[in-house]
Amino acid sequence: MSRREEKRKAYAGMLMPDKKEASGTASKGGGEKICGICKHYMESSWSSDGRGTCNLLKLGSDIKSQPPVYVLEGKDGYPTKTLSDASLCKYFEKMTFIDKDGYECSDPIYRRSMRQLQDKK
Amino acid sequence: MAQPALKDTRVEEFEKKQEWWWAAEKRRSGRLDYLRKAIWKKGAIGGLYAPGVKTDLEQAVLTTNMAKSLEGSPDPYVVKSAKLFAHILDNKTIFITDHAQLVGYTGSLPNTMNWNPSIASILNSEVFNDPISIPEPVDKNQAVIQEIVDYWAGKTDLDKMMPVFDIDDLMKMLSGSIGWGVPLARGGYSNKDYEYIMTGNRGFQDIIDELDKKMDEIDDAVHEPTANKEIAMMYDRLNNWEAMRIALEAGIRIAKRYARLARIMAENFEEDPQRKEELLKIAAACEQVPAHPPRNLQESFQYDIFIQMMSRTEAIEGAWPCRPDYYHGPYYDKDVHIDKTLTKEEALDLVGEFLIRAAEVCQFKPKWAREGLQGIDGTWVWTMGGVDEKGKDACNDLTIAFMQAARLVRVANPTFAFRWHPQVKDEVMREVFECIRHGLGYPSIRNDPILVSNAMHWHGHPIEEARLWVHQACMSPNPTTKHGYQPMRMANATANCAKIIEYVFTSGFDPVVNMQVGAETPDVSTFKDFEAFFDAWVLQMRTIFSILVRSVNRARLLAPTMTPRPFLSGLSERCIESGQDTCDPSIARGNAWITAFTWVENADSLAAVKKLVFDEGKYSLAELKDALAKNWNGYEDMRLDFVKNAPKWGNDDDDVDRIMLRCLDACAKFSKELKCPCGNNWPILPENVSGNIHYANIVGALPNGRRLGDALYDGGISPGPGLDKKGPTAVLKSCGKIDHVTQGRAFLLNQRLSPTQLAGEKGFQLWKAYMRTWADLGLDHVQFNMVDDATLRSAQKDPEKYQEVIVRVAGYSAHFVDISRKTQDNIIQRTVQGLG
Amino acid sequence: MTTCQECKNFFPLEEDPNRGDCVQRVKDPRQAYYQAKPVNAEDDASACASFQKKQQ
Repeated sequence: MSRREEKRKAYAGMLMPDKKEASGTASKGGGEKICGICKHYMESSWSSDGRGTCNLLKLGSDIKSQPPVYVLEGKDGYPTKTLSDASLCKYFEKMTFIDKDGYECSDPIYRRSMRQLQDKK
Repeated sequence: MAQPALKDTRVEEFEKKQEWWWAAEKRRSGRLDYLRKAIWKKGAIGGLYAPGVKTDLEQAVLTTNMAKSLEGSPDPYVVKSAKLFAHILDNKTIFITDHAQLVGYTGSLPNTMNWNPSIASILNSEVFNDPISIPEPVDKNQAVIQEIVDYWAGKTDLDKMMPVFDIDDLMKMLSGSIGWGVPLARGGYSNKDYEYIMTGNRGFQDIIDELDKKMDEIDDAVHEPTANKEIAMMYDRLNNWEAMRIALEAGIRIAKRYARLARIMAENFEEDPQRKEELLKIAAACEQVPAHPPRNLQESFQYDIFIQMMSRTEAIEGAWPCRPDYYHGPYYDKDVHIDKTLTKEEALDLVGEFLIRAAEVCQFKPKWAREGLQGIDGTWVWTMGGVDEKGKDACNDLTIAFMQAARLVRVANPTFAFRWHPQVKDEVMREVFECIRHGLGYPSIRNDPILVSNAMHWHGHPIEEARLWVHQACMSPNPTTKHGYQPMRMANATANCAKIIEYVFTSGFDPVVNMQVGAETPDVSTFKDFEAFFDAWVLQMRTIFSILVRSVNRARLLAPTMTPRPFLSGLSERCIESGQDTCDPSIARGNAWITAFTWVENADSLAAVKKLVFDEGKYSLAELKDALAKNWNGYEDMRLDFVKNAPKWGNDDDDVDRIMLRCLDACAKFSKELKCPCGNNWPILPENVSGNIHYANIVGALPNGRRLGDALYDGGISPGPGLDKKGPTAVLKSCGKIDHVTQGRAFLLNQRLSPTQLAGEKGFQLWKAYMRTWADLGLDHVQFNMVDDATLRSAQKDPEKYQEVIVRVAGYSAHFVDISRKTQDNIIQRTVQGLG
Repeated sequence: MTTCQECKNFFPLEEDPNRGDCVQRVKDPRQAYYQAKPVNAEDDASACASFQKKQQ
């Protein structure tokens, strides 16, 4: 595989909107384990379009494959989304919420913007 | 007939107390008062839309249903785009507000924000996830939104473009750490060929007649018994022309729908004879424009509103480039002075309402855009004054009327930018000053001779065209001419420049988004001298700018085929002539620039490193690197040293000012290496909007003493808040060392002035003296806040009582209560300059 | 079935009586206005909360 193809594969999840994540599953609050409520997750600076990275897993990881692929070495974080299904991820650690609806504080960057997180306890 | 304001002696009392907003309420006519209070304020408040303001689902549903029905259609893509546009205009709900004389709105109802789901899936996700703007009933409408979002997933402009960008650049751009905006022809802001459509020579029907002639001619040509490359290329042009025609015809039809509604109201519902007459005038205006050129001021404004409404149906427009006094001035003159069909008061009502129509416009924007443009939907910076193509003073009575109307209606947006030149009459300058003194935060003042030279220097605009410039957004000049106008400025070329200095310390790795974004420069602790450090800075600058510019270049090249703009093209002489889409770079001169957010932090940080690390040897780079990585925790004394004992920009201090110039020189040199698809340069333009707040938690600790989370500096080349200690002249002198023609595209400067000091005739003279210094030093821009700390603090405590206080944020004004607390504090922190 | 053309808010187009505008008065918390929405004469109005039978 060329270097460009590898990169494209690694970032594939970020390129196209995932219908499941945009709608169906989302409206019901996602699964119990989604990246957005994991303490290792960091949203993109735009903080509102559902994209982000994992602070722990690195580029090349894939937590949706069976079995999941974990890359722990490297520089760039694993690109994932707030609503990505993390049920297979052994590194998932639920973050501590300050308030129930996922809004950590009034400062923009700390808000979890996705309404689905309103159902998270 | 304009209804005069009621005589109220409290007006003088309010003005004495500088409570301009209450005085304005008493001074303006009953009509303007109603219309002003009728506005649903749609600027986001600290990033969230206000209660009651709802996303408009109607256009989204119309767009989606039409797109579905066109799926099997054999039409070329550009024709489908035009048909989609036409379908919306033919079927959307329209309305006419009581007492209004001008009509036309982007949404279906006054409290709605239009949403075009075909532009970006990331925007659509935000509509779905927005906590408060989904209209009632929420569950049902969320299901509707879900269906729309699902349909467009993979089909929007951005979805189609993303796979054809460079993947590395794209991911860095999408991280939101270094850029701000998306590279889309339908998601930025468009200037227009006003010399073609706004000089009274033609309406849409005239353009359609021209298109018909062209199409018939070329249609004959492509059926001659021959074949070659030129003929093969003609088919695209025929398709483009066909699409332009469809879009313009739809524009004529929706105007006639408004005419019809006005007549129905007059004939069936309205009992007041005066209002009946007004409605019939509206009907006559909408029958006339945009099909035919305007005949009077009302029709001229109406024509303009229709064009803006339609442009915002086709695309998301984040700004409003225009020059209303210049293009509508002849009609004002005709109505008020020649034909005398309007009194000045009646004309003022129209001018005030024109401002109100613009103030209420809103399209749903993503959260990062709202956080960077707090309190407003987009920067409607209207260009006033200046010169004509021959260099003669272009200020007219409408220039004055706009200033007066602005003081009456007190909208934060549109905001004015006044093109000052040495021949501006005192009478006009007085009106400009009064707006500033009344706390509007506008006009900003632009140095016209400097900026005309600047436009010629950077982009090669001929002088006659350069003189016709308008603000493309907040700051950057762009002519309104055939080859000069820029059809889509993609805000993606907006750099978070504080990252340049941050990446020197992290070797280009961004710890916020976990990504190698910048250049992999050597470990900062290995640099032996300031030159090596500065070289690393230059490389980071070049890397960041290149990533952003490459994306825009790519998008601009692909735009004509992947994201065409048939309506905008239909307003453009070069498109009518050539049959090419407005974004086609081969028919444009180019007017690109890189907006440099968070710029001054670089000069202050570099100066601090030079002094405290290299000149005095007080700290090592390794120490500083560690301190910044720890957000200064455990290094507070060191941090204070970097705050207090390193020179800061804005104090006429050569130690830091020379570094600023050096940074600008490096950028200016690089700007000429970077080329847009038109083959033109990419100069930088330091300014901020409220990006300094949006990026506060994205930029880490810096050597100017800043901590992660602190607000960044507020704009352009403005000194850091409170860091300018030597008075306003020192600020001007620092800024005056910059060459505002050759070292960048333009340079934003915020200044706070004391309302008490600038009262009365003495205040005007003081301000004029300040402006003379500003002009003599060759600065290109300055904008003012003139509201005292006590008022602002009171507004924070009791916002309900201060709903109308306006402040200058950066390239725009906003109502103080509509911006986040952090931005409010940042404005209060700005030094109040005492003049004289 | 009740149709739009039976409603007093329906104003047919001169050039095509099968199409028209549904014109209604609205007062929201900030302003009052008349709105017009394109409809077909034969559209089903039985569930329309704003339907007002035209006087013959």
